[in-house]
Amino acid sequence: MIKYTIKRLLQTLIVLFGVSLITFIMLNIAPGDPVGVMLAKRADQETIDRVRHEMGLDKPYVEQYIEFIKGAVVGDFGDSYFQHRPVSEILADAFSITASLGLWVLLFSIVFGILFGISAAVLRGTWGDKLIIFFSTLGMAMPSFWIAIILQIIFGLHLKILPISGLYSMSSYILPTVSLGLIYAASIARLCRTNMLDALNQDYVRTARSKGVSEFKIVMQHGLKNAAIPIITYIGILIKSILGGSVLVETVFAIPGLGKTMVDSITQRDIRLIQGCTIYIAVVFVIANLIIDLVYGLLDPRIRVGQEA
Amino acid sequence: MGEKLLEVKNLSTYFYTDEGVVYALDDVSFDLDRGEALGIVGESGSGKSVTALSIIRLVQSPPGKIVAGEVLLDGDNLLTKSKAEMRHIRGEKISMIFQEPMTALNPVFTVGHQIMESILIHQHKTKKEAREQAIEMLRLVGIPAPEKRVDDYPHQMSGGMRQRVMIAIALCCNPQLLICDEPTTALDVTIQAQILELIRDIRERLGTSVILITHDLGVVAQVTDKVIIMYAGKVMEYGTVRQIFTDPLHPYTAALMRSIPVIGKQTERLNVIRGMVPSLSKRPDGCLFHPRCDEACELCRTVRPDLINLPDGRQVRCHKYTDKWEEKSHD
Repeated sequence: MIKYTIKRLLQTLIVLFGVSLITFIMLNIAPGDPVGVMLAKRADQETIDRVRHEMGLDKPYVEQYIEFIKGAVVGDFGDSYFQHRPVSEILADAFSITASLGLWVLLFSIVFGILFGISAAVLRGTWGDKLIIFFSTLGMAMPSFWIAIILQIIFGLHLKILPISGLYSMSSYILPTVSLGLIYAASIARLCRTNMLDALNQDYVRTARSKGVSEFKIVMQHGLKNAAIPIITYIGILIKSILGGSVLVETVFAIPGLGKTMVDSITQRDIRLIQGCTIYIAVVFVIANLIIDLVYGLLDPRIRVGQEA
Repeated sequence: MGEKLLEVKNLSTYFYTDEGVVYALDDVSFDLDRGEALGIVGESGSGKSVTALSIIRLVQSPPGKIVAGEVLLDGDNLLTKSKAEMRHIRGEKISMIFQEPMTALNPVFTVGHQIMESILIHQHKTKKEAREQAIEMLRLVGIPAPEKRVDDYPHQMSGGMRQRVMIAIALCCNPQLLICDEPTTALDVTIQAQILELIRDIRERLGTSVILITHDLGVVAQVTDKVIIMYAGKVMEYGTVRQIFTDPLHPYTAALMRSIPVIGKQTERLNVIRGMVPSLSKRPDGCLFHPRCDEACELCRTVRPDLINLPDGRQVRCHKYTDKWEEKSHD
């Protein structure tokens, strides 16, 4: 297990190196110059050259890249061209906002998704099951930014019971959480239902019944633990996309999270911030994948890693 | 002959499917004495497994439903018990082992956990005591180094070992009745013999009554005292192993006997019973076996035969053994 984890961490480093290289190359190939954006079109060539020199953009690419890597290894991505703050600081601020909202979204979607998924599986074929399927299909079909706007109109504008923007109080978390979480909860519910039904039809469930195990324990222990792998996989993907931030919903609720930071950095050609964001996303993906793989082993002994292989 | 443990009376289980009602089990009656072993033999789809599942009330519903009859365990009708009462009977008084040891154990729990689960439900024991008992049970069913094996997962064991674990689970609460549904069908021949030996040994040591469901007459001959031959959801013949093997009465039983290859005897082809088991939703008129029976006559094609009690304790469902048949043959 430890050997496997170390091996995976080494692979992670290679992946991150690749990501940084590709990002760097793409940013230099892509048209658009940060200095041009910064100074608009008013500046003369002399000023532009001076600023480029100050920012180190006139150095050879290889040198620039090596400098970038040197900093990145210790978490220093330089200062943002536009915000004049360290990129790591900007990322940390945005991350704390995205993560605190993300935690609620995650909690919301897992609790409701699994609750309704299990209920639908147990109620299979009844009107309760059909109702849950209907609403989960609806939940998956509605784009989250649209839900966000509708919720703002209903709860903010008409009922005036919930704030419609920012993240200042507990109550201001409710609308963004619901608008982001609904689609995830619906997906988890459907996934959970399918896998629970599959597990509950297996021979070992009949064995459990023949032992006199109660229906509740059959569902919550024998069923759920077997159905958990695909659900965990999905939750892993979910965490990755939540931690990447949601551009649309963050914009609708005016939340300065990672999604918004990233899009702003791209429109402004803020190369250092873009690099920081890309590396951040890559790190989140790689670590999340590693954790998911390790959790698999805990859940299903048959894929326990590093034992024989 | 001891006292009666199980009495199945006129048990009928039907499946209500889109294609119509399937008469999986139709008016089946039999008794089982304490400590006795009974074999239930039949082809696929003859209602053997449904019999077992009906006794412990695990027929999947819908579409299945026990429509009539009684299942008396020690004189207590199981079909009128509540769900909670049935949970206490399953695993504690009646246990069951299944055909597929590869899938009958839950892959995500250790075998020890799965044995302990049953112990903790039915007995007032601490986890530690339950674990010790689980190890004891594994030793009883002949698993080497049970102290280590108790923490194994099912995928770390072979099919034969898993079936031993299933038997350990079934026996851990010392049930009065052990129902084995094709316990050896999925196993290698050598492992089959070991498992049958184990079932026989346990029956002798613990005095557990056994119902052994199989399509293999050879298996029955090794383990049981009495045999029921089932066909299309009905009991066709009942008798001791000796009676059935030396003197099969029903043409179906006789045909089954002929289909067993004999070692050392040169034959061109194996004897098979022509035709197929009838669809249980569209049953033929008269005797259910008549389309495949060499001796069938007009009577068999029109009148459904009753189960006849013969003086020597045997039962057979065939017109051959009634007065009507004799009348006809005198014509």
